[in-house]
Amino acid sequence: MDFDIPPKQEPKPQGSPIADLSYRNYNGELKTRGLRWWVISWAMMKLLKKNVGFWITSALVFLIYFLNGVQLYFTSNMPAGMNPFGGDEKTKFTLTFFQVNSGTNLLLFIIALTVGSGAISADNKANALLVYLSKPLTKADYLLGKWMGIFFTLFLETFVPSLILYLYCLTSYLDKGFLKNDPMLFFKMIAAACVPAAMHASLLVGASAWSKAPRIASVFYASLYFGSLVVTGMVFGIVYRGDFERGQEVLKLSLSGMMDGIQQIIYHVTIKNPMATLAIPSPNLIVPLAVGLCVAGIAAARAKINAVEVVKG
Amino acid sequence: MAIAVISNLVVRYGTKTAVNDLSVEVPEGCTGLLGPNGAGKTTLLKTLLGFLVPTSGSGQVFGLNTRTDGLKIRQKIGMMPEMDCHIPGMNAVSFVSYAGELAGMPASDALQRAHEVLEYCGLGEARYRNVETYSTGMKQRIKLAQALVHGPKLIFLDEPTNGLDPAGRDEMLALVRNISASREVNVLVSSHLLPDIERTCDNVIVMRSGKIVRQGSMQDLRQTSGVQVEVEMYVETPPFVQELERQGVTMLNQTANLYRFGFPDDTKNAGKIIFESAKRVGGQVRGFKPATRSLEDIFLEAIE
Repeated sequence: MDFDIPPKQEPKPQGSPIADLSYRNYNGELKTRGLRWWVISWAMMKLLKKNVGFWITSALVFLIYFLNGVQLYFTSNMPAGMNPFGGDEKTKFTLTFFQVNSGTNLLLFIIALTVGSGAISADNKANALLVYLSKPLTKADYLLGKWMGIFFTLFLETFVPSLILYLYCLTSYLDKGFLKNDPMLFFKMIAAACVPAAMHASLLVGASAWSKAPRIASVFYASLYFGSLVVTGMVFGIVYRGDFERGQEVLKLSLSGMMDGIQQIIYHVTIKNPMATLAIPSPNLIVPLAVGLCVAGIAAARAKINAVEVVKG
Repeated sequence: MAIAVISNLVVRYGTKTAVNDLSVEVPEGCTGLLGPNGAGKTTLLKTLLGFLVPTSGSGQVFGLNTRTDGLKIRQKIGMMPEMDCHIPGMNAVSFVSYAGELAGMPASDALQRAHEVLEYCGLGEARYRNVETYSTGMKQRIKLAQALVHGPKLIFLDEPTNGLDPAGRDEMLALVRNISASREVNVLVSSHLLPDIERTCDNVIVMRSGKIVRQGSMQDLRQTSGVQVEVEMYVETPPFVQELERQGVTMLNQTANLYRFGFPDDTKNAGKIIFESAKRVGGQVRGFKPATRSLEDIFLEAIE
């Protein structure tokens, strides 16, 4: 009889790779650095999925576009002379697009706060810059990613409902001169959607970079937005005493006025209402001012973004 | 082969010099960067990552210049910072896979790798929880996971056991040891906790006031000069000490019945001398071995 003890059997490794808990390194593909800003933008936009406030405000934006579509339907089907909104038939569609853009600017401001106030400030609070900048990313990649995240969201908030309205007009009013009266309307629509998106994105990255809490960035930006409105309103009231036609250039110097004014320049429409006729504002002042503010916002953010606290002294 | 070579590096914060004319070669394997608070350990790591521009001197990591090739260096490096850090609003899987994508991994690879790394770091069960709800120990682990996700060739661990309880500390040190044992990843651990370095590292660099004061493999540094022997007696035996001292042996230190003796350099048979002396005074030797220095001895000597 063989009393030898059989050799000890080694346990067989598990089949599932996750059961093997020894360290294995990653040696797979790594993409080029050029696309990494997009990873940051996309992640920002994905995080909005769970934000109820964002969806409610977005729904309101769509509702305003829908109501303008309804108004367009009724005014287009009314007999001549009975249209309570009046206006020039040649510029009717362009004016509708300008007015609906202008009418949603406040909602867009609220969405901008939702998307942008925490863009960098939340990272400051959570020390996330150390995570970002210890990866093969530059400060510019990070800033571009954050800026684009805000810009794309706001751009799409204006562009998508505008596009739906445009397609509605295209299918319903082609015979009423929709394309013929303003063949460039589609491109104007794109350019106009870029204006508030770019301004909010640039100023918000600046405000957000200098804050350690999204709430502080929100308060700062809201103060800037409404403060500029109040100041220009006071100057308008004191100097021009309610004369809209003469004083509109001053009103266009507030943040919302600038966005409105540049959109009016892009659509190239004159607004006629019972109170005044508002001519197309001169781009000489508001466009350089808006560009300057955008550059200042981005520069402020760039100065503040660092992986480590810069100690001096 | 050295993974990082630093020559005459000077880093200043305004008028304060944090790293002063430092030259060092970091060898492969697991290296501990030791030093008291303010010694310049974190500054050195941040300079190697390209976060800080040195005032003068140069540094190379895997042959890449820290001044000009920061991005290429960071592609090969994983950083576990000292302070808590995470991306707000994300769960562990999203955070770690996002970190992988930031390092250039395709989204599908990053997600798969995130699961793998989180499982490895012991966060498998909590991987769908928001990182903001994690305990201190879990936050340390997720910092390690995000540093490992893109398969770095070198990881910097800045105080990896900060805020951990003893069990958590043991687990973290075991992880660090396991990573460096894989031989695919080099590890540079910065800490002021000597036992952590002692348990994980093969090599040590000791810094003080922005300078290197001691460097070498743990084995070499532990070796004592001359012939030193640790002797364990049954009880404290002063006559045994006197007998040895009479023969030119020096007692270096004593803890209860445990003695450390220094023999003259030309001593051939220290064991024979010990046993004969014990026999002469009626003492009982329970054990003896060549003495080695603890990391604490090395550290204290270096920073004195």
